[in-house]
Amino acid sequence: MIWKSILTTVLLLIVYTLFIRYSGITISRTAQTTAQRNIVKAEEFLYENSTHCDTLIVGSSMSERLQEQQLTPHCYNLSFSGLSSLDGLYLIQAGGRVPNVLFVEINSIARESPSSLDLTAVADPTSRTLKQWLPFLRQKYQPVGVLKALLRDWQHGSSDLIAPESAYRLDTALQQKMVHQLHGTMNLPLSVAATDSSFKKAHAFLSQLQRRGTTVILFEMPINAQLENLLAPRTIRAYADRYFPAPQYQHIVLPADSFRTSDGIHLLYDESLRYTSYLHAQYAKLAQTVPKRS
Amino acid sequence: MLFTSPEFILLVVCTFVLYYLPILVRWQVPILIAASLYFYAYGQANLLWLLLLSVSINIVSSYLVVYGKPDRHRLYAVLGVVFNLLILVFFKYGPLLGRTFATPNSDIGSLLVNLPLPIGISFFTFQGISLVVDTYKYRHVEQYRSLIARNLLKHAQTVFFFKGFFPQLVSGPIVKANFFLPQIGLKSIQAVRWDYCFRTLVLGYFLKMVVADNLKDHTMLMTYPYFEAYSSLTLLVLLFGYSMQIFADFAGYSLIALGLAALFGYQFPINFNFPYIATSFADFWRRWHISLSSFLREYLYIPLGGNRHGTARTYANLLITMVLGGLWHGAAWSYAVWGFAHGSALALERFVGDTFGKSMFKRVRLLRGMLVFGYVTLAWLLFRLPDFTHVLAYLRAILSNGSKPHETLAISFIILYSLPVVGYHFYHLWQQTPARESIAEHRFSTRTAFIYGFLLFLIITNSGSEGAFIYFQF
Repeated sequence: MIWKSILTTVLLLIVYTLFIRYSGITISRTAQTTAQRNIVKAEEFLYENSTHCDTLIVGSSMSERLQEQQLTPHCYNLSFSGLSSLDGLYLIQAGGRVPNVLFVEINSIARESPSSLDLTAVADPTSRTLKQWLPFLRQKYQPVGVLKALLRDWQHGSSDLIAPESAYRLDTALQQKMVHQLHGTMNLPLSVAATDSSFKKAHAFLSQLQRRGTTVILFEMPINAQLENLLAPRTIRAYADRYFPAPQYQHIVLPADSFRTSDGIHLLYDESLRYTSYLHAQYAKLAQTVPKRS
Repeated sequence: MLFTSPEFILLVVCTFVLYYLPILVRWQVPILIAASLYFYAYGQANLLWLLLLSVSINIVSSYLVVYGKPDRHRLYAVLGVVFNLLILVFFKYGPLLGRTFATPNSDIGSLLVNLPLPIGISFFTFQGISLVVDTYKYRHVEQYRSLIARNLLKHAQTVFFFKGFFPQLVSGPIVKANFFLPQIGLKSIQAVRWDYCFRTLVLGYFLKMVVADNLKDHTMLMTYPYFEAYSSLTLLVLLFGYSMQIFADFAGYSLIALGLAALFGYQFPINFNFPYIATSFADFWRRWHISLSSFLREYLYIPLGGNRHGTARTYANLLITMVLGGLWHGAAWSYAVWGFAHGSALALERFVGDTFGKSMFKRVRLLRGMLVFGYVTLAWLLFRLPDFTHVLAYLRAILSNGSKPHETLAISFIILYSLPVVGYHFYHLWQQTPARESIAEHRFSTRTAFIYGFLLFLIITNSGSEGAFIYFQF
């Protein structure tokens, strides 16, 4: 009787695989949670040709809000919520791709990624092979997520829904509470050993990419003005300058204007558009001085 | 090493093959001990010595309780229990005591605060206590006495296996010595109950990987101060989802443990018996984490006097038992508050029953069930938010965030992933049969085969992100 169950499972898997492969329906934006969105993005980057872009962005949830198509036309945003730029760099290395231009967010380089959001399993060779042959193993094709995506497309069409940040209900009292909480944590000294180790790792990744022809551009995401010059961000800037000195590495410094955030560190939707425009303009200036890779 | 990790599956497969190899049959127990040691060391090799120390204390004390000088049997038993408790108190409650009583910069304060929490310490310590107490209680009963081998090495092997058997080593079920020791012996692969193993493992993995792990990613929203942005309805659904998650997580774990033990020919007691259909608090505790509640009843509530010394003393015993039971879950005062909340509910329920008569409430079973579920679910907030001020902030937000817009997507997913738990309970109600029957004794019909096939399909395709079992921290 156990065999009956196993046979049922195998049949369901076959039918589901046929549906994924041959139904002709475009299955996208299936993630149900932040953790899953990270994995889907990482899997798409590693397994799908459509993500092979000249320009990449690596960073945290702060950079995740950047509008990559506005930055350059052929750009893929490899920023992950709850994780750091190092996770994106790790995936670039695992994927064996060398982008022409790489934007690296410095805010999160020293952040320790929680093990619950670990992406190393995605890049594991065995797992990669299995997931390429058996698509039902990919997070993107979880039945509940697919059902959600189909229902959403059926209800709203395939166009983008209202951008999440523009619909954000800004609660000033709560925002102040969050800023206050961040004020406490961001004023604490960073662990020298951990910060050094993270920057060393980033340096190893980036110098290797640079040697292979990538233009590395380091940038900082703007945060609430009250937090911008606390101990932690100042330390990170100092480390970034020390490990990635100009002109060997390109830097885009923060503009003088302030930007509004939803919780102290994440830009509101309109503000993320404004900051992307700023990055685009700065990049255009840099591009005039940096020779293009043939 | 998580039960859901590939490394664990590999360990089980290798152990299973070696265990039933005809030429190694004599070494079955040592094979399981070796696998258990590897399992523990994989996660916390630096604290393996503590497990060995705890086992050694129980080997010596239980042996002396039977074979030591008769006038010292009681002393050896008391010493055994005290040493077990000392280990538990020092490692589990040291940081809490350090934070509460010692000055932060003193040597002792720093030592206590930085103590590591050994995985499974609450479980293997309780099993040790059970061994010493049962051995003392039944030392003159020939059937039990024969289980304590005269040969110290053989006895050491038995105790090691009893305390360290890997399916229950880190999160139970807490197995009593008088239940487990008689089962130790040669096992044959022909005796394996494959249907039972398959069903408990599939159901356990489904509850853990599909239900609990997916709910976990949604109940992440219950983080201070972020939850203050959500509507009252969203907060209530999140709380409901957490209640479902904690059940699916622990009941899933327990079922996996039962299935794994059965693969090696051993039986564990069931740990959950559809607790959310309980219609009284006493009923809830007969259904939730049964191995712990029966341990507390047998080794704490009854020795305290139980209900034998009048009404007031009974209420006090209930409160003491539940507060200590709460503290068993973790070294934070919020767990004591959680225990107190349950103890008070049990005492109040007893008082109402004694005063107005039990028959009066029999007609409102549904209402009582809803009340018990609501109260239990509300109390889980103390598990999710161990900082008491955050709990109060959450409750305030439930009361004051009525006008905020709902998180429709999160609400939908939480309800969807909670449905299997709700269905699981209702299916049982509909069957009106005891849990043991529904899991172990029903024939494996075609319909059942299809259901388990579908569950297996969802385990493969729709598991949430890997997360440690909630009860690992206890």
